[in-house]
Amino acid sequence: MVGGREPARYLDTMTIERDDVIVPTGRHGLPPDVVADHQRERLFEATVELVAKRGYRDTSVDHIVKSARVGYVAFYELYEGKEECFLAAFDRIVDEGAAAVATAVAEADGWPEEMATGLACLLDLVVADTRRARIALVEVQAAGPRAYEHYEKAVDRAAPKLGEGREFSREAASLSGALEEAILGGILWIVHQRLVKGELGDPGSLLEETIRIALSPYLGDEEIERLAATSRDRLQQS
Amino acid sequence: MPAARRSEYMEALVDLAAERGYDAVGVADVTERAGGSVAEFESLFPSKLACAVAILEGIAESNLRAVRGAFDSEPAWPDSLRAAAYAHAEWILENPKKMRFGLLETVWASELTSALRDHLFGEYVAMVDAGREAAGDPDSIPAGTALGVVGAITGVITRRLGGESGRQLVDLVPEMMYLAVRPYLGEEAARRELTIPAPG
Repeated sequence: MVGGREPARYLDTMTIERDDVIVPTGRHGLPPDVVADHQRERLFEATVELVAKRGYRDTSVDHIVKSARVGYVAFYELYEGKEECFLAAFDRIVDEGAAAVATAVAEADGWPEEMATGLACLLDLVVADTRRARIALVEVQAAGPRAYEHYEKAVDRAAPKLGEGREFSREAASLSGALEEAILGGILWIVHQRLVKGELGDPGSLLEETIRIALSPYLGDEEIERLAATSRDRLQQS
Repeated sequence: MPAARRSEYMEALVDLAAERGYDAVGVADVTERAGGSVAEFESLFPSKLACAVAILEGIAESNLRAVRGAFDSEPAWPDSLRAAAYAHAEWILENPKKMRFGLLETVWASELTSALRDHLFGEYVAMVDAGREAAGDPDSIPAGTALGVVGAITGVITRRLGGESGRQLVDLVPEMMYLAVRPYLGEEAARRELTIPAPG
């Protein structure tokens, strides 16, 4: 945090851009919190861009600060190092993704529809920005044990909602919590593998595969077929 | 005995990687743990990565011998997959550090280590996807089903590689079989998996 710190100490050496506004190099009267927000934003963008392109291991603080055009001092005021900067980016991507899914799901009626809608939204997000998807699903698994903990926590956030499907199945209701963990792992692995190979393929078949994996432990064959067909129609329309 | 010394260095690297992470282990740490020297290590392995690759090759060979062997011992799917699943769970129980080394520690170390894991996963995927031959309507099963099932099970395994929780893996086989059988043979066959006890 830079709150309360005298900005001129380190503003001399940097330039900040946001949209079409460029904050000029040199002394100016911007409040420190505003400056820090600008810097965080630029570092986020640079981290996403670089890590998605080069991989976590081959990206250095040096790369990030140069690409973000933020000074080293300012970087280390905000983050302890590369790992913390990366984790902040990961957490933000997950939070924003979760919020988008929650908004989409709010319009759906009933748990099966909510799940199908949520999965469609998740895959839309992946297709819309594969860089963010790479951070959230691929690079996080290469970024060490702390990052892996963040990843597991993020996956666990979705487990209770998925577990609501147990109401629909006597068998599923009798199983341990590993069921939801496994299903989520399976869905994310399919997307992970496609991202690693650099080809997401047909979004329709991807959605259908994930719907089947997510819902077939809970619902009957007919309901699964109906949801798979609805998801295909929805994609064709969009 | 170069072969025995190689094994000792490989074991030391697996142990150290389990303790502090593969990246944090240097060749000097490995030689110290194995009671050797850097010169001897370098006479046996060109690099730490080469040592890791040798370990991974050994893991893939030993794991597949157990898992594939169990799979092939049963003539029909899903009996074959169930036998493979128990063999896999037992192998992991006996080799938790090696599984950790193969699944988590080294996969990103190089393209070669990543390819070795892909090879192993390809074998698992084939054993799951053999369910297609047993399915009534194979064409209705999406192409990525087996990949999803293997990913699902791998996630569950990854979280249970340490200590006592490893024992859960054997207990979880019926649930994982439920998950694997459901897309291929439908609800009834999947339910049956939950009632089949562990062998022996």
